[in-house]
Amino acid sequence: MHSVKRERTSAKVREEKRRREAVKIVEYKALVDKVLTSRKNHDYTPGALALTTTLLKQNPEYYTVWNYRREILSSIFQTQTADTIQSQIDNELQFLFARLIEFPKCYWIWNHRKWCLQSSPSPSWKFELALVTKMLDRDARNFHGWHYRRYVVQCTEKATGKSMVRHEFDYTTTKINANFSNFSAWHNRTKLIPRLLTEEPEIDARKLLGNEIYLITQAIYTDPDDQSVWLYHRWLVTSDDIVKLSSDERKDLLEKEIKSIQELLEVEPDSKWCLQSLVVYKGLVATLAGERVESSVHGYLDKLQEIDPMRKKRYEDWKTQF
Amino acid sequence: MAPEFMREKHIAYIQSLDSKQDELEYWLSEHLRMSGIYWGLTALNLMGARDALPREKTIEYVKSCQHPNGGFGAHPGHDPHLLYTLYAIQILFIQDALDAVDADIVAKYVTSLQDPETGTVRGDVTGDEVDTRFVYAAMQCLSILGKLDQFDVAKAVEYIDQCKNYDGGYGLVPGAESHAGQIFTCLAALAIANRLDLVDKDLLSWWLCERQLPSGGLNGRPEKLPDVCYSWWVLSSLAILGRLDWIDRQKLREFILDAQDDEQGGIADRKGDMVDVFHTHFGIAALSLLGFENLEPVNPVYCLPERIMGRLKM
Repeated sequence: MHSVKRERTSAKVREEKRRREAVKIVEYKALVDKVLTSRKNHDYTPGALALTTTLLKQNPEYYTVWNYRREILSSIFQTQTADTIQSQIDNELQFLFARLIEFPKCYWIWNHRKWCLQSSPSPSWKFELALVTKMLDRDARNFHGWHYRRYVVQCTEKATGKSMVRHEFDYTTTKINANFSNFSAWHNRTKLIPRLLTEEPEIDARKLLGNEIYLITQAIYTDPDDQSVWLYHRWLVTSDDIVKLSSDERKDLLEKEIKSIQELLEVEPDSKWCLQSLVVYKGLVATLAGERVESSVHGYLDKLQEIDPMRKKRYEDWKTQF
Repeated sequence: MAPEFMREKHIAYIQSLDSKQDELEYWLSEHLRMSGIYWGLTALNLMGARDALPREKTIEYVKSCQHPNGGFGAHPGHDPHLLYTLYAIQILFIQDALDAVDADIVAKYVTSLQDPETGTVRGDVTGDEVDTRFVYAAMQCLSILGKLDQFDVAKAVEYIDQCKNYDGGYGLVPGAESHAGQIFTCLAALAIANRLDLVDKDLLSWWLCERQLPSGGLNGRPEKLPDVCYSWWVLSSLAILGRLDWIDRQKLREFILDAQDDEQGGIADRKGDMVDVFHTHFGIAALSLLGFENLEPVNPVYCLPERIMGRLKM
């Protein structure tokens, strides 16, 4: 079980636990029986809904019961007005919010929430965005949270006909300013920037690239051991996604970055990410210039093998490329 | 010094799992019963204890989870879902008992989950949740059944390619962040489709080998904690790319062995935590890929004993 500490307990404690659980097991099994029986009987009443509430509070992973819950709600909605449906869905969303706070990584809760919004006569995407912002404040790397955020944004854009690329780009800036080490936010930026440039043609792509490099350089200086910033840096200086550079321009950019990383390396001589980046960028410069790679690269790889012995074989393989 | 591999204790632990009816957790985890059998059975096979679970009873149990539409649920009374359908087929395949079910109807269920327009795959007939895990589950299931020709492999491959990111990795859907679990499912699906040519091998192998932390354990994304289950997802991906030696095998081995429970057996996510059959399975499968503890070889694409892969109908 993820992050549940193992405890050594005495036979007496185990026996007490067993006795306590025996009562709970009887109750739980009776509840499951009741829910499954009412499903078998096509019971789509509010009473049946309440039973699923009790069960799902105890066990949100019981996906079959989520399915049953949707059957009940769909049936109830059939005879209701839009207003009543909406208020029922609002209750549902409140119920789900409490479940998500308790179980932020349970797929079924997130799925059910999407279903509710799709079934809602007037979904409040604004509220959903506020909710997921709150979730990502609690855990800035929650995979489900970021996934849900992209979903909410997509639905908002569809509903309003307006792009949220700028809004989301600014959101990643906020997250990054709060903590540079946020691979999820940097990742999102790689997806947002190309769209931003298409949608806002007045943006000078070269200037934006310059700004991004400035931002990431600050991040790198803050924590040169953080992987996420270096991965983003590599994307910026090696890909054509932001602006298609001529090979001379690319070479200039790489050389400028090499110089700046070398300065950092003087202060941080054992920074493996400095060394790795220098190997990549110098290799690219050599390819662009049609020349042999600088001999310093071999020294960097030797040093990498020495300071990062876990990946010794990777550096060995790398050497064979030069 | 890491402890020794506790083979006998792990076998006993897996065998004991179905006798824990006096624990509430047993009842709360019914949705993991089918997966649990697959995890346990595979781990037992890799440890050479092929007959440690009752074969006939297991087959009967799997059959009792099948629905008229061909799909399998997690347990009798649980709705059909693609993931449990894959686990069911894997269990039957290990037991050499595929003839216990009608392959056509299972294949029909699985192929019905693919969207013919986009190539994506849903997890079940009621929801519209798509995920690269489901593409892999569908492809592996059909491949075992010898029915992959009923699936639009080219479209599925196209979809996986859209999930590729700037770091060479793959996410849950197009636009989603790279994650070692999703990378494994995408690589394995591409391997089944024979389309590994689409992978940026050097870039992805680099990202993958950086998952190893000073403790020897592997994490699933940059700047996250190590966890035994990632030993499998990262390691199998490196194996598929032919780069197993890009990490320190000995240190990973120690990290996994340290997560063993020396009293009751089983492996946890990391040292000192509660064990479960999920981490026990992934820890043992990883040790097998690493070539330690005299385990039977595991297939990195299917996560099944290599010994049975010859039965695959091509």
